[in-house]
Amino acid sequence: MIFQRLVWSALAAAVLVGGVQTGVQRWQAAPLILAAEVYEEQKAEAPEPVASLTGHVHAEGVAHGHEHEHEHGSAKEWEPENGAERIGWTLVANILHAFSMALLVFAVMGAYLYQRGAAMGSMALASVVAAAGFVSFHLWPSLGLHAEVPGMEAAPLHARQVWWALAVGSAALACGVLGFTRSPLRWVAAAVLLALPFMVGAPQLNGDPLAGFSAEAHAALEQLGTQFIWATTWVSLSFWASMGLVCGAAFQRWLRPVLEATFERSKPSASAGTAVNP
Amino acid sequence: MNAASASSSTSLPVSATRSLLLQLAAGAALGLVVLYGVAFAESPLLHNAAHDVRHITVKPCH
Repeated sequence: MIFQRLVWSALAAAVLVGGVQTGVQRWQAAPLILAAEVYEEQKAEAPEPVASLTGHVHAEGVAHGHEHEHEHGSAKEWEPENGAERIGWTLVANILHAFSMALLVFAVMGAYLYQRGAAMGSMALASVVAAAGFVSFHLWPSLGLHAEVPGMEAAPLHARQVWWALAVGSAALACGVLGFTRSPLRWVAAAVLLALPFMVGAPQLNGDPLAGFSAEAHAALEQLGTQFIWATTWVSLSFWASMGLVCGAAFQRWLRPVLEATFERSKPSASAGTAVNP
Repeated sequence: MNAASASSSTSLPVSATRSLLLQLAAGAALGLVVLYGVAFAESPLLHNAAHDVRHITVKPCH
């Protein structure tokens, strides 16, 4: 069973990549989330605009504010405490995220080995697949739905999730067409697939994503939002670069020997087939 | 290598290859399920645990 090997290899790669990612994120992106959350909480705790207009319900307004605490999830839901607990869960999520991507990377690498033979080395193949991963899972969906810090309003969640899946699926399919087929039409097919999500159009919010914030918070969040877009791009580049390295090494060590041995035996019609003929 | 052993060893690798490809596909499917859990599942517990990773990996979040 290669399935077990596949899962263990992906897990080993994921622990390494997920661990490094958690560190990179603490340094690059997490401070921006924490800074944005300060404004998000200020907004949630502020009295309702209606109450401030009437001007004489100060005490009520403060008490009232607590009912609105979190716009995502209800206020009663568990969430990790800032510090070790939050970093711990982020580490777990990063490992699982890297695990899911490693399984996909290994599947594509295995399929390539089956279809194209052993011409390409594991590290080179992993680098190409990781580059396709960056384009498919980061660049393409981010062109339509850019990274957002907490506190920003956006179009309805479900519509954005559907569009995200469309953008990722189209870009991945385009990369697959380019990598796995040799027809001259593949460039046209890839171009159409890459254009598809933008012909459909990403769901966008009508109005200001930062409506309801004070002028000062508005300006600060706008700046944090721009910084966050760049930070997530560097984080994603580092993620896929490390995935290319680690998955390439893991594939070479644990998966390639088994896959190659089986694939070579199953395609003997050219070499072994002639040997069989008397 | 005689003809009898050759014919039995050609059918075996074909089914072994099919099984390998299926297992690779099963691995990819498991990957998609885990990705869904980390990045998309609506459960507030999963959302809050993976909140920062969802934001940083640019998944649609709340």
